[in-house]
Amino acid sequence: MAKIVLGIGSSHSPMVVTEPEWYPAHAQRDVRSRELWGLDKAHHTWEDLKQTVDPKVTALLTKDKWDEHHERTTAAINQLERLYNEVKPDVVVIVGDDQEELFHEDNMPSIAMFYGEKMHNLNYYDKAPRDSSFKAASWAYGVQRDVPVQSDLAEHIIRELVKAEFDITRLKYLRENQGMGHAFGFIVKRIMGDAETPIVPVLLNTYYPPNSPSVKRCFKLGEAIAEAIEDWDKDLRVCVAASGGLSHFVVAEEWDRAVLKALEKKDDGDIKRLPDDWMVSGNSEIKNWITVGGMVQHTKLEFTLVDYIANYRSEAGTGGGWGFAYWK
Amino acid sequence: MAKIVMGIGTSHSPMLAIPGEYWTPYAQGDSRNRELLTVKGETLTYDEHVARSAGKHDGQQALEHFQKQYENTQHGIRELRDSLRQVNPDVMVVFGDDQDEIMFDDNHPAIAIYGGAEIPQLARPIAEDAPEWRKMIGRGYGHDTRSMQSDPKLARYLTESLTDSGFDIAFFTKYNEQYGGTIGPSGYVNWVRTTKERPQGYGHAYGFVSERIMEDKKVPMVQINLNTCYPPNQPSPRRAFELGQAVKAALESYDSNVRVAVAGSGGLSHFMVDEELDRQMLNAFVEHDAEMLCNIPYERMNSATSEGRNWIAAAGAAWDLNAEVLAYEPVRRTPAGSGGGWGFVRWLP
Repeated sequence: MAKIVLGIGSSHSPMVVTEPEWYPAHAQRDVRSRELWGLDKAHHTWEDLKQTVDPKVTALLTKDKWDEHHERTTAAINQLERLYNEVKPDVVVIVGDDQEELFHEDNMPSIAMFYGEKMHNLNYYDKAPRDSSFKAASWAYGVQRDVPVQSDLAEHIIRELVKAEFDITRLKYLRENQGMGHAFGFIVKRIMGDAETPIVPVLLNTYYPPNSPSVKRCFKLGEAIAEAIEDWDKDLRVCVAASGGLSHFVVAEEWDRAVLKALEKKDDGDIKRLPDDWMVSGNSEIKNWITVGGMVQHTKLEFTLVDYIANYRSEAGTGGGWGFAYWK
Repeated sequence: MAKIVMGIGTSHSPMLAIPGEYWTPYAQGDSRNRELLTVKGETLTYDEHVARSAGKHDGQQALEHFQKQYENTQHGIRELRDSLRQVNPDVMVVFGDDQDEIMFDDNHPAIAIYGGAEIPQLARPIAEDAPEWRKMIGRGYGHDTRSMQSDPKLARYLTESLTDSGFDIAFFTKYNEQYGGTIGPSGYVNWVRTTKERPQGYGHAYGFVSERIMEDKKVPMVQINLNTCYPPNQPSPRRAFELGQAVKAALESYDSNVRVAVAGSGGLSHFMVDEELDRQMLNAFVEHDAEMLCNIPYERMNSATSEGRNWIAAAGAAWDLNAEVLAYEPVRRTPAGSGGGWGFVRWLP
């Protein structure tokens, strides 16, 4: 019997792994971004947001604040990494999204699982443009190598999900020049320290309409995956990890806190009521957390918030609400 | 509010494009087929099937019998074609499957909806010196380069609506120019199926409906692709039925008064004839016996027999209409009992 012994939730933005000197460069992306989804659940331009921003936000855009935020995010990720090393699970089920990395308009799954023997990771450093903020962040998404996958468990989960009426897309291999997306590379590198521990990747289309799974569906998916894990006949100690979120690129501290509170309380009613129509753009990665919330729902694991940092990076209130938590 | 005005269940075997005199040469491939499954799901070789059959299918390969069977299948196809013209729907939703055409194990969805505007059809190369029956097969699926119209608004709406009702639909709006890859091993597919990269438009399941049922009077087509064939993520028959029912419900709340035909393409049993299952399914369509359809055992719904899922989905969508079996022919094209149960069903009010 496999057993879920640890849950992890971690933001994975380039901003959480770069020094504050790069924050203005990250903010530059927001200025021309078409993915700024406001608290009013509508698209905005950066200029629009700037007009209506809370003055308290602009007061936070100081070097001291940024230094403090950087220290806290780094400390939080380090703490999760230490915890991972203490628990030393046999396998890590990673729930992440794909941002035009593996999936494109020629075939965009809603929910997918990789179940080949190994999943390739790419060299993000070489791929990123020179002197870019992405290059500065690239170290945190792993090195070019084949990451082992717990293929038998993954296939077992797929079979069980089909029985539970999930219409799962499956990936047995990647094509040449393809590699795992940033959501997976981040956990493999930054939490698992590029260990040889096998993973089971669960890929959600959180971002792209019209087939992003709903909050409810994600929670149910998590519950069904947990059931399949516990039904697996090998004695494996399993870590489940959510990669990404929370709110970005428009920071929504109050809403992020509501997500964290619902997860902490394991209140499935509150979790399922989290607003689908706000989970758009980067916010949508919260669905990865909700799926992991479903996985731990029926375990004895308890939620601990390591830190939450509303990390503003521009005078339009853009940036990210970075969350770091575990279930133990 | 859209309305389902007609349902179609049609086999789409290459045999339906070639008269009975070509069936014996066509059947020669069966001795190499690795998908000759028993009703219990065991894979046997051709010779093992011959031995098990112990002569009980002898005589069914007579030319005259084949010709009669061929004529009856063509009758079924003509009836569907004529009814479709008469009903004259605005759009057709086709449940089909993909067999090593555009879906491979690098990204193999259980259910996928195409939401682009144009559906490309590509000519597939057939050698000049190929036998005439091979050329006829090519023509039977639409063998020239052109494109068909889809209904992208409806396709997107169905994807949204199904996603809201808890289906996990893959969505695509673009056909690539080349496709290739591998499938398996998994389940009854105990080897690696390899397809070299080659130009490929939409698949045989849709080509047959366009070329043989619509003929020259094309209706915009929304493609809903089920992975019926390849483990481990084939939707169950029950899931296929529920999908059809959810499509029906979605259409009923669509904002446009389009008249919709639904079609299930493929099946029934092949490449081993399972006449008992075929007749049970046909009866269930007529009798509105959802439980029979939903409870077909998994091991009996593999290889191309699995395409019955497309019919079950179409039936779920056309459930308010009444089914009529236009033709059914269990064609045992070899002494092993290999071949197919070719069926044609029409649902009308």
